[in-house]
Amino acid sequence: MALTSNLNLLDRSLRGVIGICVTAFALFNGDLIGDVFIEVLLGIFGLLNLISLASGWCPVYHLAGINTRKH
Amino acid sequence: MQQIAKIKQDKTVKPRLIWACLCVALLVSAIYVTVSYRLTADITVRSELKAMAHITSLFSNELSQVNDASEVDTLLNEVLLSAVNTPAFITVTTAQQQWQKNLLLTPTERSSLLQLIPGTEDNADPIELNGKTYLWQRHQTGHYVITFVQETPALDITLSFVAKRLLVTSIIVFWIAVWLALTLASLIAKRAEQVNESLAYIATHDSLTGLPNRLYLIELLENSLGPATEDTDTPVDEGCLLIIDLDRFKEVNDSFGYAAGDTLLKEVARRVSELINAPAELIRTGGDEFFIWAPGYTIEKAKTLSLEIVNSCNSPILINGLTVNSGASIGISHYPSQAENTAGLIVCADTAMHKAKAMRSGWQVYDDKKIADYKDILQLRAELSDALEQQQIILYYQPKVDLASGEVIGAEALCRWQHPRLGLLGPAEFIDLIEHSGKVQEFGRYIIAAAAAQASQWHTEGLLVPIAINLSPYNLLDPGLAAFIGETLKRHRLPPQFIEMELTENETCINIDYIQSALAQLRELGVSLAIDDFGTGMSSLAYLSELRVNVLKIDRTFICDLTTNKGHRAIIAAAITLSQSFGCDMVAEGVETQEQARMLYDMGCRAAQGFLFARPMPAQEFHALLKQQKPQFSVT
Repeated sequence: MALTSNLNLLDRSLRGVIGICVTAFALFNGDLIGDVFIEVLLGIFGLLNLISLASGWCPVYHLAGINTRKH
Repeated sequence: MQQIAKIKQDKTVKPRLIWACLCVALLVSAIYVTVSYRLTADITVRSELKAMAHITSLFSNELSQVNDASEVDTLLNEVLLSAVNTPAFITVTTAQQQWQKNLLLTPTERSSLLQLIPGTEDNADPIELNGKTYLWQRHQTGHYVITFVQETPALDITLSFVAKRLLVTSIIVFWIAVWLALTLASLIAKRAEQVNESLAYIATHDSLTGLPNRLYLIELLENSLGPATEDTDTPVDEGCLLIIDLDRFKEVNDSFGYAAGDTLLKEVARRVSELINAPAELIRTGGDEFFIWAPGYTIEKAKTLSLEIVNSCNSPILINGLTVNSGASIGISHYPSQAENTAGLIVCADTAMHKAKAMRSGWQVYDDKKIADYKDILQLRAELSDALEQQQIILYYQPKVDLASGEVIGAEALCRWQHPRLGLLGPAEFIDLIEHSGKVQEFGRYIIAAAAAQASQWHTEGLLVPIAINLSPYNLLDPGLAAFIGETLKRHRLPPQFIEMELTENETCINIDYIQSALAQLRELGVSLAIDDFGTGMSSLAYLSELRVNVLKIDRTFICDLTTNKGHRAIIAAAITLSQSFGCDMVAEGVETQEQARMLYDMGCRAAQGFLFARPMPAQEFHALLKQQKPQFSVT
């Protein structure tokens, strides 16, 4: 299963912004949340978005057969 | 005719699914948040209550050691101030006395709270007063009843405590739910699309050969012909429609079985597919009929293609170890020079194909001169039912003459269509239409009824002339035919020998067993049977002996050159001998000259019909002829 990019620029950058914000929040403002489990969840959520930013590929899109990238 | 597009266009599934999934996601999130909050609140209240129970039991312990009633007050003060830091009060009651202590509560609030405490022991539900929440405990020790009520900030604390976590987790849950919704919706929509596409494919393709079918052809032609509109996406300037009909498919089916027929069809489909190039398309509409729609083809190009196809179909195909060549007849029609719409184009190609088949010429281009014909054909077909209803189909009669005496010994009924617009039409112009219109049965019965009525009318006048009716082979397949004839004869009180059924030789062998039983029924009625056009059909002499007919009518092709053609003379002589051996009568058709009549008479033929004696004529004229002094004709 080759990781062919399936996100267009807007989708990718939006995910990037969300990913960075969420990861940063989880890493540096953990005290505000007060629960390690939720911190980890947020971390995963952010990380997935960062992967999408980096590779331009979304696993869920891949499974669902959606492609927002124009050919 | 946009059915296929309609099947494919169902795009509403996906958005609906997404909305449904999103709603479910929202609902799940809401339920999750509510349940979590209530759970936390419950646990907090319980722990709070436990603490209060602790205080109360402590207090009651202390109380049990007090002997003086005045000490109760001090004790109350101590407990309340040391253990409690929110608004609260404690009352202690005995049968005689009551002590109470307030902390940050007004007396009115206290009394209303006291009233709100239910008598039951269940204290899990907090009491609400003026927007504040209170918890209570009641304890009985000795003769003291202790009631402890305390305002609790537990719920607010819980709310602020769990709110942040709930917010974050519900965002994550919602995020997962949205992804799930998208994935599910896309998967299901994709599946539905696949199903729709395969449905459209099944609806427009033939399962045997995998070629497109009639529905597809109509759609294709509708889209290709005529000016460009919203519906027609690919109009063409010109094109040719080819109809290919296999010549020997039925024989292969009959002699080798359906599996062999299927093999033949598949092989032909494969061969023809290889011969044509896109955008030309091969379509199978059913049976052994194939269409090719070749956009951009000129007639010349179509002719070349036809030649290739005919050659290809003539090269043998191996079926069950035997080589079979199916042969093909192709009809070609050209758009727009010959027809401008789908129906017209198909009718033209079909007509040409039938012509090719009849001429055994392999292929045939639709004849330009007859452009208007198909319209006439279509119109005539539409007018047929009127014709039967309004009795426009009438019978003409041609006499059969006894060659020895010159007397009229019978009549052959021939149908004519007294058309209100086109005048008198001969059977050649409409019999085909009737046989393909599904009115064969009705038509056959109509003719039989008309002939029987005429015969009975003459019979009552004492003119004893049997009338012969030409039956279509399809009529013999009508299971109620014998019963109908019997009924008709009975109604007209006509002896059965005055009706004769003429069958052509080819017809009598389409389904020999069935037809034999049908003919046996007719024979039982007493109706006499004749074989028409004898000598030209394909039936064997064995069939002839089994059919046991009463009359043989030898075909006109043998009569017309009787005087010059030795071979035909020999055939006639043989037929005459044959008829004598079978014990049936013999009638010569198409006698035109005196010489032919004399020769036939000399050879032993006793009866004849033809232009020499009379052409077919209306009933009144025939009636007049019968009324003449006998003999009506001088023959020898």
